[in-house]
Amino acid sequence: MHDRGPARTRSPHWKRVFTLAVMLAAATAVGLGAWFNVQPAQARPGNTCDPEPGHGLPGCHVETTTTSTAPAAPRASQSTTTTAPPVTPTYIPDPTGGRPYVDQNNCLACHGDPSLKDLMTKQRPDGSTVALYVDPAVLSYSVHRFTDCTTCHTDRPHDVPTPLTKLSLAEKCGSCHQHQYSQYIASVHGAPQTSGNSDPASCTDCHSATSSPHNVVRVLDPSASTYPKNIAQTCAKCHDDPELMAKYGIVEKVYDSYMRSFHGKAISLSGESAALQQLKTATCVNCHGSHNISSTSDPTSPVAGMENLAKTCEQCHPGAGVEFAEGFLGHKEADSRHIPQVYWGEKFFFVFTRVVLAGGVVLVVGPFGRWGVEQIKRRRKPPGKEE
Amino acid sequence: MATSGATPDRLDGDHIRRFDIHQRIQHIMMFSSFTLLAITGLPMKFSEWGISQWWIGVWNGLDNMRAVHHFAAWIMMAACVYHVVYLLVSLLILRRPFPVHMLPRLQDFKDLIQDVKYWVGLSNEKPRFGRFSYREKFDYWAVGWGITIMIGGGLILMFPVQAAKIFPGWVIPLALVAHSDEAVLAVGWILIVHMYFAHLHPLVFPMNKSIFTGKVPLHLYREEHPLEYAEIMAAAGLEPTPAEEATPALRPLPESAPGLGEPGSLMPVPVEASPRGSGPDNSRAMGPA
Repeated sequence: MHDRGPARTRSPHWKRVFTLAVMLAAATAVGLGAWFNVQPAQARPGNTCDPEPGHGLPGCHVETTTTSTAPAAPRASQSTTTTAPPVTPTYIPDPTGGRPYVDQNNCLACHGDPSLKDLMTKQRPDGSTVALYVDPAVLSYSVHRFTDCTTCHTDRPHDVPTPLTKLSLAEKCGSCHQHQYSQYIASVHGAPQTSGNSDPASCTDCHSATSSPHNVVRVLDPSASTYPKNIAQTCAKCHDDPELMAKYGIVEKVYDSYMRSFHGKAISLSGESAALQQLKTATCVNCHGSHNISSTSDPTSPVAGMENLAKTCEQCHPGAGVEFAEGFLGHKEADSRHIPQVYWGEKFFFVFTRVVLAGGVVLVVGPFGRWGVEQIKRRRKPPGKEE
Repeated sequence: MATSGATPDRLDGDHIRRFDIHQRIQHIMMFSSFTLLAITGLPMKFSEWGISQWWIGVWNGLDNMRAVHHFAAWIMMAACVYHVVYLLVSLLILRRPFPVHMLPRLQDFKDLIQDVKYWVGLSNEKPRFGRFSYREKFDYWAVGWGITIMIGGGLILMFPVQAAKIFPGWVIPLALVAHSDEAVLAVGWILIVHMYFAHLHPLVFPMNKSIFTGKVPLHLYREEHPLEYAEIMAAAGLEPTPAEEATPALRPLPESAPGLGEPGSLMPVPVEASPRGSGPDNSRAMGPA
């Protein structure tokens, strides 16, 4: 409980700039996409989408007049003015009362229709099923809700080989988030993807509570799986899975030991309404890195070896040296070989506190018991005898 | 602790002075900071409990609660410094006698054995205490041990980086173990033992105000510290007063009159057989004098 380091959040400044850049890129993409794909609008109102595969985007491109009256968010006007698309973007008010979102090509006329949910599935090579249904209520809270479907799904989404793999998903995200992608693809999570191992996490495994690209929320949104209070649980989705971890020789119960630590307690003790400033405690990513995460056995890892670890500690604990870093139990419980001083200290205080408290209980129960016995004896006696 | 022994000026009307103003202030500093430390520290140890989460919310976050914890810690450390300075001034400047009554001695162990015998019914005699009973001595020295652990561990946790420059790194996790376990012990001891003997046990229920007023009623002093009571009375050259006659006795009663009165009663039960009356626990006065 001694963490007094500065807030460990990413610089809001470059984040704002980056977000703006992404927005502009997305808006440009939307605009250009719309420009090159404008077809005479065919009257396909409502949910009368042709269920046959390969019916193509133009058929679904429906300009609806009813939705153009939807409340325009401030950012909406920005995206329209910067790229001046030839068609008016359709800001769909979420029927459940959610926030508006963009569906430039009315994809959700089919893909957001719950009644077609069961029809729209695909099989992955491994036999598992991927749903092609996108819940509009979820979409309306996505950080990308003003990014049209075609930005990621291309202008001819029905011609794209789907479903995506974790690698192709990361590549897709990386087409905008290039810096993060270049870090990720070299990381311990990203590198195995290139050789076909899809065990490690990809973008949406961390950035979405359901590993779905459609409900990625902002990193510092309190509901985000990447919010400081939620990161440990997010990492624990894989790192608290003993079977999966055993496969990679990771034996430490990293989640439990983190939650026992100063940092974990500070996080778990911050209330549900804790402001970001109150969450200035190290989470998994502050020590291990995020997009550029590396194995702890990698000598370049920020937690590999006491020298690196001390430098990592120093980010929040100014002046922390190797000796300070050695005080960290390293996600392990102390035992007779690993920091034995702490192990024997635990044993001593375990016995000591219980023996002393038991003695204290005897000290109280003894006299109180005798007093009680005397009381009972006295009541049984005839009052006259007391004089 | 460093008050002079059984001198006549200890007597104040129907009370005996037991704690001077410094001891009372030290106690107020101790219990107020202790309470604050406990209610702001335990939620950190038992962080996974729902009530801890709720309580931190009351403080509007861990940072605030921890700030109060640190503030209370400085109060407690100030109380310790006060106590040490008080002792040194008493001994070296005021030239008061060394507080030997607080030192453990063999008689304390014998008193404990006698108490256990009394509790289980092997004896009808309670041990007779002087200035401090073995329980009070234990309380004092336990606080001495406990507060050393608590302040030592607490300072390491408060300044971990600086601590690691002086000590090996493992003192930080060890300090956490010691500080948090010792805290639970201290809270448990205060709640169970100290609260019982100071406030809840039948003689003084519901509350013993002597640590705030500094004075103990005569009848209570005679009950709890009979040996020192006798010394004070002898030093004052006082014969038993009529009021005293009506209160519990120190004088031994004949073996033929057991079971009169009730231990722990504040209501005196006069007995003709004894010149100083009989009362609660009449037979315990047969104990070692």
